[in-house]
Amino acid sequence: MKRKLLVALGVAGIFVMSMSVFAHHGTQVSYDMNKAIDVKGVVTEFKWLNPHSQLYFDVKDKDGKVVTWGAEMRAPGNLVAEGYTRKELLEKLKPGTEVTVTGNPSKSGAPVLVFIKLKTADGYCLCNNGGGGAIPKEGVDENLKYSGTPPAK
Amino acid sequence: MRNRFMSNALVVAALCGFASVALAQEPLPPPSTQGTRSPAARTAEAEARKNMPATYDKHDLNGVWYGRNSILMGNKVPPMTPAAKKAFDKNLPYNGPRGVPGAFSTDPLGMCDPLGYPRNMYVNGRAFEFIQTPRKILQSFDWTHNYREIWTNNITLPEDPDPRWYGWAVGKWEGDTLVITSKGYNAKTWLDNAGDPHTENMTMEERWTRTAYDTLELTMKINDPEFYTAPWVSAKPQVFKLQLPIDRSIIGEEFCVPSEEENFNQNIRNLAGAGKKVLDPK
Repeated sequence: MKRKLLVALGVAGIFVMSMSVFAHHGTQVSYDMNKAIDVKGVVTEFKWLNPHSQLYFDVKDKDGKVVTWGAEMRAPGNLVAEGYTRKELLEKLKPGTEVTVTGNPSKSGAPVLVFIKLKTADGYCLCNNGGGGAIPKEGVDENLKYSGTPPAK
Repeated sequence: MRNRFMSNALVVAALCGFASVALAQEPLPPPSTQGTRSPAARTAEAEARKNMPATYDKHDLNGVWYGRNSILMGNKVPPMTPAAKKAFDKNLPYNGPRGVPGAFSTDPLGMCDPLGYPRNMYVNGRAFEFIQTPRKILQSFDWTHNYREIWTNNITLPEDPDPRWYGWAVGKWEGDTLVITSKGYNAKTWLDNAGDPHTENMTMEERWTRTAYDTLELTMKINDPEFYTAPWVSAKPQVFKLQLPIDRSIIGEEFCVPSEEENFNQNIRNLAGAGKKVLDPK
Protein backbone atom coordinates (compact mmCIF):
# COMPACT_ATOMS: atom_id res chain seq x y z
CA MET A 1 0.00 0.00 0.00
CA LYS A 2 2.79 2.35 1.00
CA ARG A 3 4.56 1.47 -2.26
CA LYS A 4 1.40 2.19 -4.27
CA LEU A 5 1.12 5.56 -2.56
CA LEU A 6 4.74 6.38 -3.36
CA VAL A 7 4.25 5.38 -7.00
CA ALA A 8 1.09 7.51 -7.20
CA LEU A 9 2.91 10.46 -5.66
CA GLY A 10 5.78 9.94 -8.10
CA VAL A 11 3.44 9.91 -11.11
CA ALA A 12 1.64 13.01 -9.83
CA GLY A 13 5.01 14.66 -9.31
CA ILE A 14 6.08 13.94 -12.87
CA PHE A 15 2.86 15.46 -14.23
CA VAL A 16 3.22 18.56 -12.08
CA MET A 17 6.89 18.83 -13.02
CA SER A 18 6.21 18.41 -16.70
CA MET A 19 3.46 21.01 -16.57
CA SER A 20 5.57 23.56 -14.74
CA VAL A 21 8.61 22.90 -16.90
CA PHE A 22 6.66 23.30 -20.07
CA ALA A 23 3.83 25.59 -19.04
CA HIS A 24 3.17 27.77 -22.02
CA HIS A 25 5.59 29.74 -24.12
CA GLY A 26 8.27 30.78 -21.68
CA THR A 27 5.86 31.70 -18.90
CA GLN A 28 8.51 31.57 -16.23
CA VAL A 29 10.76 33.85 -18.27
CA SER A 30 8.28 36.39 -19.64
CA TYR A 31 6.26 37.03 -16.47
CA ASP A 32 7.20 38.16 -12.97
CA MET A 33 6.25 35.04 -11.05
CA ASN A 34 7.20 36.76 -7.77
CA LYS A 35 4.33 39.21 -8.13
CA ALA A 36 0.58 38.77 -8.47
CA ILE A 37 -1.89 41.54 -9.29
CA ASP A 38 -5.66 41.95 -9.46
CA VAL A 39 -7.04 43.76 -12.48
CA LYS A 40 -10.69 44.70 -12.77
CA GLY A 41 -12.28 45.22 -16.15
CA VAL A 42 -14.94 44.27 -18.68
CA VAL A 43 -14.52 41.26 -20.98
CA THR A 44 -14.15 42.05 -24.67
CA GLU A 45 -13.31 38.51 -25.87
CA PHE A 46 -12.59 35.04 -24.58
CA LYS A 47 -10.76 32.73 -26.97
CA TRP A 48 -10.98 28.95 -26.44
CA LEU A 49 -7.92 28.12 -28.49
CA ASN A 50 -5.16 25.55 -28.53
CA PRO A 51 -2.53 25.70 -27.22
CA HIS A 52 -3.41 28.90 -25.34
CA SER A 53 -6.84 30.09 -24.38
CA GLN A 54 -6.88 33.85 -23.97
CA LEU A 55 -9.01 36.44 -22.22
CA TYR A 56 -9.11 40.08 -23.29
CA PHE A 57 -10.72 42.73 -21.12
CA ASP A 58 -10.92 46.52 -21.07
CA VAL A 59 -9.68 48.33 -18.00
CA LYS A 60 -10.15 52.02 -17.16
CA ASP A 61 -7.19 53.69 -15.56
CA LYS A 62 -7.41 56.54 -13.03
CA ASP A 63 -7.72 59.11 -15.81
CA GLY A 64 -10.53 57.24 -17.51
CA LYS A 65 -8.35 56.00 -20.36
CA VAL A 66 -9.27 52.50 -21.51
CA VAL A 67 -6.47 49.96 -21.77
CA THR A 68 -7.06 46.47 -23.19
CA TRP A 69 -5.45 43.75 -21.10
CA GLY A 70 -4.73 40.20 -22.21
CA ALA A 71 -4.51 37.10 -20.03
CA GLU A 72 -2.67 33.97 -21.12
CA MET A 73 -4.63 30.87 -20.12
CA ARG A 74 -4.19 27.12 -20.45
CA ALA A 75 -5.12 24.91 -23.39
CA PRO A 76 -8.72 23.74 -23.79
CA GLY A 77 -7.70 20.19 -22.86
CA ASN A 78 -6.31 21.40 -19.54
CA LEU A 79 -9.43 23.42 -18.84
CA VAL A 80 -11.58 20.37 -19.61
CA ALA A 81 -9.47 18.31 -17.21
CA GLU A 82 -10.25 20.89 -14.52
CA GLY A 83 -13.95 20.38 -15.15
CA TYR A 84 -14.68 23.41 -17.35
CA THR A 85 -16.42 23.26 -20.72
CA ARG A 86 -16.18 25.50 -23.75
CA LYS A 87 -19.88 26.29 -23.55
CA GLU A 88 -19.67 27.25 -19.88
CA LEU A 89 -16.69 29.55 -20.30
CA LEU A 90 -18.00 31.23 -23.45
CA GLU A 91 -21.21 31.94 -21.55
CA LYS A 92 -19.60 33.04 -18.29
CA LEU A 93 -17.01 35.18 -20.05
CA LYS A 94 -19.16 36.72 -22.73
CA PRO A 95 -18.36 40.28 -23.81
CA GLY A 96 -19.56 42.85 -21.32
CA THR A 97 -19.01 40.66 -18.25
CA GLU A 98 -17.35 42.46 -15.35
CA VAL A 99 -14.35 40.50 -14.11
CA THR A 100 -11.54 40.72 -11.62
CA VAL A 101 -8.58 38.83 -13.01
CA THR A 102 -5.64 37.78 -10.86
CA GLY A 103 -2.36 37.03 -12.59
CA ASN A 104 1.39 37.42 -12.70
CA PRO A 105 2.28 40.57 -14.66
CA SER A 106 4.57 40.67 -17.68
CA LYS A 107 8.17 41.63 -17.10
CA SER A 108 8.02 44.00 -20.06
CA GLY A 109 5.37 46.16 -18.39
CA ALA A 110 2.88 45.56 -21.19
CA PRO A 111 -0.74 45.05 -20.09
CA VAL A 112 -0.65 41.26 -20.23
CA LEU A 113 -0.53 38.71 -17.46
CA VAL A 114 -0.43 34.99 -17.03
CA PHE A 115 -3.73 33.89 -15.59
CA ILE A 116 -4.16 32.65 -12.02
CA LYS A 117 -7.90 33.05 -11.37
CA LEU A 118 -10.93 35.15 -12.14
CA LYS A 119 -14.15 36.23 -10.48
CA THR A 120 -17.13 37.78 -12.18
CA ALA A 121 -19.34 40.44 -10.62
CA ASP A 122 -22.09 37.85 -10.06
CA GLY A 123 -19.79 35.59 -8.05
CA TYR A 124 -18.70 33.02 -10.65
CA CYS A 125 -15.16 31.87 -9.94
CA LEU A 126 -12.79 30.43 -12.52
CA CYS A 127 -10.39 29.40 -9.81
CA ASN A 128 -9.29 25.85 -10.74
CA ASN A 129 -5.90 26.18 -12.36
CA GLY A 130 -7.07 27.98 -15.49
CA GLY A 131 -3.69 29.50 -16.29
CA GLY A 132 0.00 28.89 -15.77
CA GLY A 133 0.31 31.54 -13.07
CA ALA A 134 0.63 31.21 -9.31
CA ILE A 135 0.22 33.47 -6.31
CA PRO A 136 3.62 34.00 -4.67
CA LYS A 137 4.23 33.77 -0.94
CA GLU A 138 3.75 37.52 -0.58
CA GLY A 139 0.20 37.29 -1.93
CA VAL A 140 -1.51 39.69 -4.31
CA ASP A 141 0.14 43.11 -4.54
CA GLU A 142 -2.39 45.43 -2.92
CA ASN A 143 -0.69 48.52 -4.31
CA LEU A 144 -1.56 47.42 -7.82
CA LYS A 145 -5.04 46.19 -7.00
CA TYR A 146 -7.63 47.48 -9.45
CA SER A 147 -5.25 50.18 -10.59
CA GLY A 148 -5.97 49.32 -14.19
CA THR A 149 -2.62 50.58 -15.30
CA PRO A 150 0.21 48.37 -16.41
CA PRO A 151 2.78 47.75 -13.68
CA ALA A 152 5.85 49.95 -13.86
CA LYS A 153 8.79 48.61 -15.83
CA MET B 1 -46.72 -21.79 -14.57
CA ARG B 2 -46.30 -20.96 -18.23
CA ASN B 3 -47.55 -17.42 -17.61
CA ARG B 4 -45.06 -16.95 -14.78
CA PHE B 5 -42.23 -18.21 -16.99
CA MET B 6 -43.28 -15.85 -19.75
CA SER B 7 -43.50 -12.85 -17.44
CA ASN B 8 -40.03 -13.62 -15.99
CA ALA B 9 -38.63 -13.97 -19.50
CA LEU B 10 -40.18 -10.66 -20.49
CA VAL B 11 -38.66 -8.94 -17.45
CA VAL B 12 -35.21 -10.37 -18.25
CA ALA B 13 -35.57 -9.39 -21.91
CA ALA B 14 -36.68 -5.90 -20.90
CA LEU B 15 -33.73 -5.55 -18.52
CA CYS B 16 -31.31 -6.72 -21.21
CA GLY B 17 -32.82 -4.34 -23.69
CA PHE B 18 -32.65 -1.49 -21.19
CA ALA B 19 -29.03 -2.30 -20.38
CA SER B 20 -28.01 -2.43 -24.02
CA VAL B 21 -29.74 0.89 -24.70
CA ALA B 22 -27.98 2.34 -21.67
CA LEU B 23 -24.62 1.08 -22.95
CA ALA B 24 -25.30 2.27 -26.48
CA GLN B 25 -26.13 5.70 -25.14
CA GLU B 26 -22.93 5.99 -23.11
CA PRO B 27 -21.36 9.26 -24.31
CA LEU B 28 -17.80 9.62 -25.49
CA PRO B 29 -15.72 11.28 -22.80
CA PRO B 30 -13.79 14.42 -23.73
CA PRO B 31 -10.33 13.81 -25.23
CA SER B 32 -7.29 13.24 -23.12
CA THR B 33 -4.51 15.69 -22.74
CA GLN B 34 -1.36 15.64 -20.68
CA GLY B 35 -2.47 12.34 -19.22
CA THR B 36 -5.43 13.96 -17.53
CA ARG B 37 -9.05 13.98 -18.64
CA SER B 38 -12.34 15.40 -17.56
CA PRO B 39 -13.58 14.39 -14.10
CA ALA B 40 -16.32 12.23 -15.75
CA ALA B 41 -13.78 10.46 -17.96
CA ARG B 42 -11.49 9.83 -14.99
CA THR B 43 -14.35 8.27 -13.07
CA ALA B 44 -15.25 6.03 -16.03
CA GLU B 45 -11.60 5.02 -16.35
CA ALA B 46 -11.29 4.17 -12.65
CA GLU B 47 -14.37 1.95 -12.91
CA ALA B 48 -13.06 0.21 -16.03
CA ARG B 49 -9.69 -0.39 -14.36
CA LYS B 50 -11.45 -2.53 -11.73
CA ASN B 51 -12.67 -4.94 -14.43
CA MET B 52 -9.68 -5.41 -16.71
CA PRO B 53 -9.33 -8.72 -18.60
CA ALA B 54 -7.13 -11.28 -16.89
CA THR B 55 -5.42 -12.22 -20.17
CA TYR B 56 -4.43 -10.16 -23.17
CA ASP B 57 -2.46 -10.37 -26.42
CA LYS B 58 1.02 -9.01 -25.79
CA HIS B 59 1.40 -8.23 -29.49
CA ASP B 60 -1.73 -6.08 -29.52
CA LEU B 61 -0.71 -2.50 -28.87
CA ASN B 62 -3.90 -0.93 -30.19
CA GLY B 63 -5.25 1.77 -27.95
CA VAL B 64 -4.65 5.26 -26.63
CA TRP B 65 -1.70 5.44 -24.26
CA TYR B 66 -0.77 8.27 -21.92
CA GLY B 67 1.97 9.07 -19.46
CA ARG B 68 4.32 11.02 -21.64
CA ASN B 69 6.42 13.70 -20.05
CA SER B 70 8.66 16.51 -21.20
CA ILE B 71 11.95 14.89 -20.29
CA LEU B 72 13.53 12.93 -23.13
CA MET B 73 15.20 9.74 -21.86
CA GLY B 74 15.07 10.84 -18.23
CA ASN B 75 18.78 11.47 -18.10
CA LYS B 76 21.47 13.85 -19.25
CA VAL B 77 22.35 14.24 -22.90
CA PRO B 78 25.70 12.59 -23.78
CA PRO B 79 28.67 14.92 -24.39
CA MET B 80 28.29 16.90 -27.62
CA THR B 81 30.79 17.26 -30.44
CA PRO B 82 31.89 20.84 -31.34
CA ALA B 83 29.49 20.80 -34.32
CA ALA B 84 26.60 19.85 -32.05
CA LYS B 85 27.52 22.55 -29.53
CA LYS B 86 27.37 25.15 -32.31
CA ALA B 87 23.90 23.98 -33.35
CA PHE B 88 22.80 23.78 -29.71
CA ASP B 89 23.86 27.39 -29.03
CA LYS B 90 21.77 28.57 -31.97
CA ASN B 91 18.67 26.87 -30.58
CA LEU B 92 17.05 29.24 -28.09
CA PRO B 93 14.46 27.43 -25.96
CA TYR B 94 11.92 29.16 -23.76
CA ASN B 95 12.15 26.56 -21.03
CA GLY B 96 14.86 25.33 -18.72
CA PRO B 97 18.09 26.98 -17.63
CA ARG B 98 18.73 28.49 -21.08
CA GLY B 99 15.14 29.76 -21.39
CA VAL B 100 14.52 33.10 -23.09
CA PRO B 101 11.17 34.90 -23.40
CA GLY B 102 8.98 33.18 -25.96
CA ALA B 103 9.23 36.29 -28.13
CA PHE B 104 12.96 35.67 -28.65
CA SER B 105 12.92 31.88 -28.77
CA THR B 106 13.73 29.92 -31.92
CA ASP B 107 11.76 26.89 -30.74
CA PRO B 108 9.91 25.39 -33.74
CA LEU B 109 6.98 24.83 -31.40
CA GLY B 110 6.41 28.59 -31.10
CA MET B 111 5.77 28.73 -34.85
CA CYS B 112 3.65 25.56 -35.02
CA ASP B 113 6.34 23.85 -37.10
CA PRO B 114 6.17 20.04 -37.14
CA LEU B 115 7.94 18.67 -34.08
CA GLY B 116 8.93 15.37 -35.70
CA TYR B 117 10.03 12.32 -33.79
CA PRO B 118 10.94 11.75 -31.00
CA ARG B 119 10.03 15.25 -29.85
CA ASN B 120 6.31 14.85 -30.38
CA MET B 121 6.51 12.06 -27.81
CA TYR B 122 8.00 14.49 -25.31
CA VAL B 123 6.42 17.85 -26.11
CA ASN B 124 4.14 17.55 -23.12
CA GLY B 125 2.39 14.69 -21.43
CA ARG B 126 -0.19 14.32 -24.15
CA ALA B 127 -1.51 10.97 -25.35
CA PHE B 128 -0.85 8.93 -28.49
CA GLU B 129 -2.62 6.03 -30.16
CA PHE B 130 -1.19 2.89 -31.74
CA ILE B 131 -3.27 1.65 -34.67
CA GLN B 132 -2.09 -1.74 -35.93
CA THR B 133 -2.88 -2.84 -39.49
CA PRO B 134 -1.63 -5.97 -41.29
CA ARG B 135 1.21 -4.07 -42.94
CA LYS B 136 2.06 -1.17 -40.72
CA ILE B 137 1.48 0.47 -37.37
CA LEU B 138 0.36 4.06 -37.23
CA GLN B 139 1.35 6.05 -34.18
CA SER B 140 -1.04 8.97 -33.91
CA PHE B 141 -0.29 11.89 -31.60
CA ASP B 142 -2.90 14.16 -30.13
CA TRP B 143 -0.42 17.06 -30.22
CA THR B 144 -0.86 18.45 -33.77
CA HIS B 145 -3.11 15.46 -34.56
CA ASN B 146 -0.23 13.98 -36.51
CA TYR B 147 1.09 10.47 -37.07
CA ARG B 148 4.08 8.44 -38.15
CA GLU B 149 4.22 5.15 -40.02
CA ILE B 150 6.05 2.04 -38.84
CA TRP B 151 6.19 -0.71 -41.46
CA THR B 152 5.92 -4.19 -39.96
CA ASN B 153 5.75 -6.38 -43.07
CA ASN B 154 9.41 -7.41 -43.19
CA ILE B 155 10.52 -4.60 -45.47
CA THR B 156 13.87 -2.98 -44.81
CA LEU B 157 14.60 0.69 -44.37
CA PRO B 158 15.69 2.57 -47.51
CA GLU B 159 19.48 2.80 -47.64
CA ASP B 160 19.71 6.54 -48.17
CA PRO B 161 16.21 7.94 -47.66
CA ASP B 162 15.23 11.54 -48.22
CA PRO B 163 14.83 12.87 -44.71
CA ARG B 164 11.31 13.40 -43.34
CA TRP B 165 9.94 15.12 -40.23
CA TYR B 166 8.86 11.76 -38.80
CA GLY B 167 11.61 9.69 -40.41
CA TRP B 168 11.39 6.17 -41.80
CA ALA B 169 10.63 3.36 -39.39
CA VAL B 170 10.26 -0.42 -39.45
CA GLY B 171 9.21 -2.71 -36.63
CA LYS B 172 9.57 -6.40 -35.82
CA TRP B 173 8.79 -8.55 -32.81
CA GLU B 174 11.58 -9.96 -30.68
CA GLY B 175 9.61 -12.23 -28.36
CA ASP B 176 7.02 -9.94 -26.81
CA THR B 177 8.92 -6.73 -27.51
CA LEU B 178 8.25 -4.63 -30.59
CA VAL B 179 11.60 -3.29 -31.79
CA ILE B 180 11.34 -0.22 -34.00
CA THR B 181 14.40 0.98 -35.87
CA SER B 182 14.32 4.26 -37.70
CA LYS B 183 16.39 6.81 -39.57
CA GLY B 184 16.03 9.50 -42.22
CA TYR B 185 14.95 12.35 -39.94
CA ASN B 186 15.38 15.89 -41.20
CA ALA B 187 17.57 18.09 -39.02
CA LYS B 188 15.07 20.92 -38.64
CA THR B 189 13.59 19.43 -35.49
CA TRP B 190 14.86 19.58 -31.94
CA LEU B 191 15.14 16.39 -29.94
CA ASP B 192 13.50 17.99 -26.91
CA ASN B 193 12.35 21.20 -25.24
CA ALA B 194 15.94 22.01 -24.26
CA GLY B 195 16.94 22.51 -27.90
CA ASP B 196 19.21 19.47 -28.20
CA PRO B 197 19.96 19.12 -31.93
CA HIS B 198 20.50 16.14 -34.21
CA THR B 199 21.79 15.46 -37.71
CA GLU B 200 20.07 13.82 -40.66
CA ASN B 201 22.14 10.73 -39.94
CA MET B 202 20.60 10.08 -36.54
CA THR B 203 19.28 6.55 -36.03
CA MET B 204 16.98 5.35 -33.32
CA GLU B 205 15.94 2.09 -31.71
CA GLU B 206 12.79 1.82 -29.62
CA ARG B 207 11.75 -1.24 -27.62
CA TRP B 208 8.05 -1.38 -26.72
CA THR B 209 6.73 -4.05 -24.34
CA ARG B 210 3.18 -4.47 -23.07
CA THR B 211 3.94 -5.56 -19.54
CA ALA B 212 0.31 -5.64 -18.33
CA TYR B 213 -3.11 -5.23 -19.87
CA ASP B 214 -3.03 -1.50 -19.21
CA THR B 215 0.73 -0.89 -19.22
CA LEU B 216 3.21 -0.29 -22.02
CA GLU B 217 6.91 0.32 -21.49
CA LEU B 218 9.43 1.99 -23.79
CA THR B 219 13.19 2.18 -23.81
CA MET B 220 14.89 4.22 -26.49
CA LYS B 221 18.38 4.57 -27.90
CA ILE B 222 19.44 7.49 -30.09
CA ASN B 223 22.66 7.21 -32.04
CA ASP B 224 24.09 10.30 -33.73
CA PRO B 225 27.90 10.10 -33.64
CA GLU B 226 28.39 13.35 -35.59
CA PHE B 227 26.73 15.22 -32.71
CA TYR B 228 27.02 12.99 -29.63
CA THR B 229 30.08 11.11 -28.46
CA ALA B 230 28.00 8.20 -27.15
CA PRO B 231 24.55 6.76 -27.78
CA TRP B 232 21.79 8.37 -25.72
CA VAL B 233 19.89 5.60 -23.92
CA SER B 234 16.79 5.82 -21.70
CA ALA B 235 17.71 5.80 -18.03
CA LYS B 236 14.83 3.40 -17.39
CA PRO B 237 11.70 2.25 -19.20
CA GLN B 238 9.10 4.93 -19.65
CA VAL B 239 5.67 3.73 -18.57
CA PHE B 240 2.41 4.46 -20.40
CA LYS B 241 -1.09 3.61 -19.22
CA LEU B 242 -3.93 2.47 -21.46
CA GLN B 243 -6.84 4.86 -21.71
CA LEU B 244 -9.97 3.07 -20.49
CA PRO B 245 -12.70 2.10 -21.18
CA ILE B 246 -10.98 1.04 -24.40
CA ASP B 247 -14.17 1.05 -26.48
CA ARG B 248 -14.64 4.71 -25.71
CA SER B 249 -11.01 5.84 -25.92
CA ILE B 250 -10.40 9.05 -27.79
CA ILE B 251 -7.43 10.98 -29.10
CA GLY B 252 -7.34 14.76 -28.73
CA GLU B 253 -7.48 17.10 -31.68
CA GLU B 254 -4.65 19.24 -30.45
CA PHE B 255 -3.69 21.09 -33.59
CA CYS B 256 -1.20 23.89 -33.37
CA VAL B 257 -2.94 26.30 -35.76
CA PRO B 258 -0.42 28.74 -37.28
CA SER B 259 -2.86 31.65 -37.66
CA GLU B 260 -4.12 31.22 -34.09
CA GLU B 261 -0.61 30.85 -32.75
CA GLU B 262 0.47 34.02 -34.56
CA ASN B 263 -2.49 35.84 -33.07
CA PHE B 264 -1.48 34.64 -29.60
CA ASN B 265 2.17 35.50 -30.23
CA GLN B 266 1.36 39.08 -31.20
CA ASN B 267 -1.27 39.82 -28.59
CA ILE B 268 0.18 38.02 -25.58
CA ARG B 269 3.58 36.36 -26.02
CA ASN B 270 5.46 39.18 -27.73
CA LEU B 271 3.93 41.84 -25.51
CA ALA B 272 4.86 39.91 -22.37
CA GLY B 273 8.41 39.16 -23.44
CA ALA B 274 9.35 42.09 -25.63
CA GLY B 275 6.79 44.81 -24.91
CA LYS B 276 5.62 45.01 -28.53
CA LYS B 277 3.39 42.99 -30.80
CA VAL B 278 5.53 42.68 -33.90
CA LEU B 279 9.19 41.84 -33.55
CA ASP B 280 12.13 42.77 -35.70
CA PRO B 281 13.10 40.01 -38.13
CA LYS B 282 15.55 37.52 -36.64
